[in-house]
Amino acid sequence: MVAIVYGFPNKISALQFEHAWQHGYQTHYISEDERIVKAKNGGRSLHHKLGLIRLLLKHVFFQYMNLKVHFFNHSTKEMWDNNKFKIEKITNPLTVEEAEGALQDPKIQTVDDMMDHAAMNLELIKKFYMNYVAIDENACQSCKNELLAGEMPCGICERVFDYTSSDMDLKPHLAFCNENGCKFIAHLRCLHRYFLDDEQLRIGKQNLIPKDGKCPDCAALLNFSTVVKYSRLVKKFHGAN
Amino acid sequence: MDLRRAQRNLELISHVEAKQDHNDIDEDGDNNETRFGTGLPSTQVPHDLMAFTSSGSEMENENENKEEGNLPKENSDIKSLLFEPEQGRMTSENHEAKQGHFDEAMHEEPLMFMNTQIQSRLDDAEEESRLKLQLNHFKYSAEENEDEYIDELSSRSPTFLLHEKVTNLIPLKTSTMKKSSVSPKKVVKQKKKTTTTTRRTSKRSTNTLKNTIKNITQFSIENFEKTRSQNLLKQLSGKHKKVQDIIKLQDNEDSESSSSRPRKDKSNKKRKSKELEFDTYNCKEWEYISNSIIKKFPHCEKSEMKQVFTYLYGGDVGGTGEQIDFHEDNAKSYESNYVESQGLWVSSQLAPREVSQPGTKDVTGVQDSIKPRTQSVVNVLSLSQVMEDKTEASIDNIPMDDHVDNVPMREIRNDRLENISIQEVMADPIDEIPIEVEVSSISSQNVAPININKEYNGGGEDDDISIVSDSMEESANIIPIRDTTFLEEEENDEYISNKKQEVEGKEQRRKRITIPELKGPFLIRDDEIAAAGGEEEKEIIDLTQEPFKVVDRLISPLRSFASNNGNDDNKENGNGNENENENEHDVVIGSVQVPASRTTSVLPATTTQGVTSLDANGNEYGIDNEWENIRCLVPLYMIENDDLILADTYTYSRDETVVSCSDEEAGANTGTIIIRNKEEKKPNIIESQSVQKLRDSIRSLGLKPVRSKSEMIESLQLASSQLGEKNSNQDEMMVNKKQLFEHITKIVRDDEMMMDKIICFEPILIQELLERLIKLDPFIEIVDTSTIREWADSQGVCLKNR
Repeated sequence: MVAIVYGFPNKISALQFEHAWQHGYQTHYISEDERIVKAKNGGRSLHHKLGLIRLLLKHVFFQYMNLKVHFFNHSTKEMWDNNKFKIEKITNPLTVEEAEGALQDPKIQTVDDMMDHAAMNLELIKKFYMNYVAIDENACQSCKNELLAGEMPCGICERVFDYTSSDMDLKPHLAFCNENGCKFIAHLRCLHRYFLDDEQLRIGKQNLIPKDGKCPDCAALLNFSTVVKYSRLVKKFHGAN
Repeated sequence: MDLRRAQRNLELISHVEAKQDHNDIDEDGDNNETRFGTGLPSTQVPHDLMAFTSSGSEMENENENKEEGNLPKENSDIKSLLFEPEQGRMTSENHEAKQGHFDEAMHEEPLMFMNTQIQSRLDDAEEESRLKLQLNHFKYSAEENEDEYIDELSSRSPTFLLHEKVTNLIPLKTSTMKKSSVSPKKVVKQKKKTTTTTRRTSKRSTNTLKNTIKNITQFSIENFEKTRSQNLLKQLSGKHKKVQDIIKLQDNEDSESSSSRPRKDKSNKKRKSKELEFDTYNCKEWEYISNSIIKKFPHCEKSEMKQVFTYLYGGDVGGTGEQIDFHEDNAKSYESNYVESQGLWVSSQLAPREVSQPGTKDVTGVQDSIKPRTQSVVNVLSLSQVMEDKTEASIDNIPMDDHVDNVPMREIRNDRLENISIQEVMADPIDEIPIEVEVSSISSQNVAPININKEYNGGGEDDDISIVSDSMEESANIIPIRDTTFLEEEENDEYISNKKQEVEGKEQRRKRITIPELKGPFLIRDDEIAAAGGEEEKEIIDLTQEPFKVVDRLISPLRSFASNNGNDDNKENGNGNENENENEHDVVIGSVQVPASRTTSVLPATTTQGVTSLDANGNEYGIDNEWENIRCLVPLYMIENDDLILADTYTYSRDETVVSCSDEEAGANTGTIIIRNKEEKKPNIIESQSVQKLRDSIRSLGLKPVRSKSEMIESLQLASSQLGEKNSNQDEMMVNKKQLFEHITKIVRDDEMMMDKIICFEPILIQELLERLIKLDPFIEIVDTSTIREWADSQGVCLKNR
């Protein structure tokens, strides 16, 4: 594995992304004028694969998800940066990361060398996964700690929610601001509406899902998909019956 | 025949031998053989000799003996030389030699023709001398020698010279042939091969040519002189009748002089006393003629002028030694005499003897350039000049003196136009119209104009002398000659009075103008009249002189609207007369009219009517048919009752704004409305489209595909009805997909359950979504699923199939 695209809010979207990436010649996420793979058997080079990732990440549907690209191979990262097909930059800030200790091109002389390179790659993937899971657990733990306080007013609507109670009506989806120790908690719907209004002021158009917004307390830029992820995790792990 | 001929030959031979023996005893035998040999063909000699000595040659020899003394002797010698060897050969040659004899005779024939040629040359010379004698009787060659005549020919027109050359061609050639006849041998060499038949025919042709030459030459010269003199006098005077009389007189004079010269004096006197009663030229005519002659023939001799004068006034009038001197050196003396006598015109009308009397010297030949500037000149414009000879008597042909040349031509013409007028034109029944010419002097002296008010008399001797008007008031009664239209309206007194009034107005301007001296009659052109008349006449369009276009419609289409609208009073009184409706309280819009002039004229626009620039067609004056708003006044009852005819075509609305400042227009019974084009119901764009376009529209909109056109139309109309609420432009029926997405977004936003899923990025079943959407809005049913997916992708909604 040389790279990984992550941050999908659900597996359906992830599969849609994968399907589109594997069928770059016909996917509707890529417009005809920007299509770089026009044949079924074409586009098998690494440049084409990286180019298709760029095109899919450029689509509006995946831009709501705040996807990230993580590279486990340095040469592949260089090829990404090379941007052979000169695909325009994505409007949303795309997070492109390179794993520490990314591998170089394998110099395979024997089977043992190949097995050693694969093991090193797997280690990098595990490391990345453990790091990712650790971040989410910490975020959810901090949220849980805040929810243990009992009734808490929404930071926007001031309505009370209580994740300690057994009433499910008091356990709505909540939005947290974990940036810089901010303790802002609000209804997800309230923050959603807040972000939509803010976004409408910026772009003049009201959509169903905002892409991002500033925290009402600390004014930190929060990605809505990330907020929703943690809200769902909290709800799943601490708000469920 | 042969036996007899042989016997006769033998007798002749014996006779010849006896004769030869008697004459030439000493000759040897060779000569005898030749003589004998040549004597045989002589059997044909009598016939041949008779043939050769035909009547022509003998007669010609006799004629030549008469005129040229030495030629007969030479001819006799030549004949003796020719016939002597011929006789010898005839006796010795056979029948074949006979043919050679004929050839030889033919070869010797030109020797006989030489004499006839010489005779023909002599005949030509004689004819030429006789022709010259006839030409000496011609008028101009009586006093002039031949060189002068040639000079005169050289001064004539090229056509005439060509004609003269043609006519004199053969006589000149004969003279050259006469010179060449001095050496007859050359003539013999040149004409050696001509036959007797050709000689005869040539002689006849020369004789006939002589006659034709004589006739043609004389005829052409005479005719030319006649036509020339006629044309000249016609051109100078323009009086055909007088010219014909003069030519007739001259013809009679020539015929009498040629027939009976001894009785010339007596017959001339009688003839002059009778025939000089014809209508001669008056003073001004003759003066104009003399000027024209001087202009056309600046180098004319004194005698020529004298001859012309005698043509007109009696021939030898100056035989007493008091002939009129036309030379320039003596012109001043005649001029002074002319001023003193003032009888110029009268003297020209008198009998020739009286004219030639001392103390009444005529000035016919005096040039105008040497006349004093202050002298008033009387110009007479004849009717024939006015009616017929416009071109000849035009202003361009008027002789100009030196002073006038320095004046600009335009000014001169204007001045002339200003000074010519006619007095009592209509009262004069005679074709010669006396006119008064007012001439102002360019000098400081103000000489009163001469007003000739003459009743024309055919005799001419009892005519009134010129009446000199003392004041300018009389000139106020003068009608200027503008064009020939006044002749058509002779009996119209009103026309004359109007003309007089016009002249009176112009007299005031004329006094301030310094006018040079005028000479010669001329016509007045309309354009010059206009130029002299000023701007007043320029603005008048004479429909009889210029084409004009008839306008078929004088009233604009809005006129009917105006004419049908009466005011309240008229309606109450039941008066439906349209004339009364057109009062000031009527609709102002109806007063729009089209000017009936050829050129477009824009009526002055007012503040109350916006339609003043409309014409009969409604689209001129730079305003299109799609005019916007027209503000107009209409009666109030029509507004209240919606009785306006324009309501069918236009929409109108009440306007309370008061713009007009006129109290009459803004009456209490009128109201202001604003008329505008009625918005027509445009046909439905969707229904008017084709199936293909409808299909494309459905596809572009993202609706479900349908087969029939009606379903397409229904889907599109439904989509437009649902999505067009936010669309301000109702005409744009083709809604786009963006509007559809917004519509769906709006629907989903109102659904809380859906929004919870959407916010949490939970995948939503497409069927569930569709059901929810259709439940909320049935319109979504016609929306294609792909459109819903596209919408979901655009909004970040994750869908799943199952």
